[in-house]
Amino acid sequence: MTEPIVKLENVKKYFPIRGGVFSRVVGNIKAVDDISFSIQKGETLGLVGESGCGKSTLGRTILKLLDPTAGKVFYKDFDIFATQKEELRNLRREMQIIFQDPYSSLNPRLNVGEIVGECLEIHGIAYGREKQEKVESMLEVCGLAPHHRRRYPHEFSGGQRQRIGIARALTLNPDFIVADEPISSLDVSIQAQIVNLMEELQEKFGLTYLFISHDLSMVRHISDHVAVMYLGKIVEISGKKELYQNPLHPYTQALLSAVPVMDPDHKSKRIILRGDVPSPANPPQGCNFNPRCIYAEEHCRNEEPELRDVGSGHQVSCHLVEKM
Amino acid sequence: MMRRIIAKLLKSSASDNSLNGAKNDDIVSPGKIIWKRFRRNRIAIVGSVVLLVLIVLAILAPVIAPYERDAIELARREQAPSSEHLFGTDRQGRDLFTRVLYGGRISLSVGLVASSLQMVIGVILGCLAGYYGKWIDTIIMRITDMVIAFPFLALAITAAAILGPSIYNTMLIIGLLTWTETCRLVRGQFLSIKQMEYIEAAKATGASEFRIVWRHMLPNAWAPVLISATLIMATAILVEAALSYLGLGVQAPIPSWGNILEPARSMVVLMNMWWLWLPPGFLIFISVLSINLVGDGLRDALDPRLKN
Repeated sequence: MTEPIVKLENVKKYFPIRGGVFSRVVGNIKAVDDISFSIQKGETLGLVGESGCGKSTLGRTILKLLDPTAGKVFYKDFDIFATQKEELRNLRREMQIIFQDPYSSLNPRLNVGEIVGECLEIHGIAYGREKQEKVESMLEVCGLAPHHRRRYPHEFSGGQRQRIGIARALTLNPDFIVADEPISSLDVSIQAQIVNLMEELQEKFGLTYLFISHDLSMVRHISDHVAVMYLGKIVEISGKKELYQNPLHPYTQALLSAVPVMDPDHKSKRIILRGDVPSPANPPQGCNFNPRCIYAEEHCRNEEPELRDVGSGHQVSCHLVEKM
Repeated sequence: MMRRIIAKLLKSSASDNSLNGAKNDDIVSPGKIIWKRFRRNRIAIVGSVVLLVLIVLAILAPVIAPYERDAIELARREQAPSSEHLFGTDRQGRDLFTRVLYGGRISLSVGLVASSLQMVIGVILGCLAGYYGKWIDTIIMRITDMVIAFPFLALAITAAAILGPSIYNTMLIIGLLTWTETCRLVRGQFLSIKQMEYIEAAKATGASEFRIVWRHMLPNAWAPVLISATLIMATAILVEAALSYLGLGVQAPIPSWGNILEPARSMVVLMNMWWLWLPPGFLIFISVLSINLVGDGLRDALDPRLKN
């Protein structure tokens, strides 16, 4: 195995709920609750989970776009949460983010050249003509034309805008990219284009991705490892093949049973989850998943399961793994 | 009927022109879109032209004016308009046409400076409140509430009486009392812009706070600020006229449209010497009206959602 480029240790992000006359903290929304994993250099970790489970919050917390509540994130040898302002600014050259919504992620008052080239100015890498050339070549790499530099975001389609967002993220030549549902607001045909572009770029620049998505087939396509998140916690993490062929956590099983299979004779046993996702402000006792789990036992309602390794890097957080 | 047809024809030719314009120049910047929308609004264009003429007249006052601004000629006092004195003469025998021209300089610049001053104060405080939030926001918004709670004209008159009447005090008072709306607008804009992903993107590339505010947030927040600045400029001209009329604003011998009106406080003047108050009164009316028209046009051009 290669060495991990990003390593999370017990990362937590709570959003305080304020109430009462003096707006005291009356509770916490545990959006990200005690998450640890690592991503190897040059590979893609797919992070899946339903909406509201804290995927995006985790992605933003890793980049310290949100202030973490607790835990540590190491990028190479740097402890990101402990770095000072200047140092963090320098680190930002190596870690970038691609956003979900290509409409709100581009400043409507700046033209494409300014959007993509701004980071070069911020870090004092290139100005004027040199900046222009870099921007143009980056646009070409991302499948746009150099003359698009002078146009404004509103003149582009959703897919093109997402390409602009990717170009912006790549201009600084980063090593690690958080892709926060980069394809979920695009048409299916465009989704494929963007994913292919991301794969090409990964090969070309040796990028490492944290690919956040709720599209299980797309994650299967692009990822090397997959982590499944439920209510702020990782419930299962493993190599892609292993996870899709041998899902161990009941939640993962339910998710995978919902993925359509292109085979008319395929008789899938669809596991239907009952109930709603509990509020992250008031998670259930014991295992987070127990109110909706078809296998839940007394044990599950009282004691919280730990993420355990069940062999060859396949980690599951379930008391009943052995019975599965 | 005929009118309607003509209007329709005019409209269609106007839209044809705008289409051709788009073809000629293929890069459509946000500024171009705004200008295109503004241009289509004929009333706003009329307002801008009138305003421009007034400004040019004010700037060129020394060239155009037939007499010395303060030249007193007691032998020719209170004369009705004639070919010699276009707007007649006042009680000291000064040429009113000259004084109205010079008065425009004062009135328009009081409007402009006061409005710019309130814009600077409002934008800075609004930025701080909207960007930092928390206790800074609370303090600034409570101060804003307090300023709004005072009856505007009463406070302006009191302040003018205490500070003493002068052009600069008038500008200062108006500026200090009208920034609240701008502040609230900027704060509101910032609260919503702060949630946009392009702000996060800027943070992720390591942009400084100043850069985020200056380059990413303000350019997206300035539309309502500019609209309210024009409308406040109109208010400022009116308030200056009111203060000067009461003798608390610009002091003689410096003329402003407001203090030229001053003699109209006497019934005799009001009833028998219309030329002493009609021209400056009409110019105040015209300038405020055209500024408001420009403001409305800007609002429609900058933020089409606010239309109707």
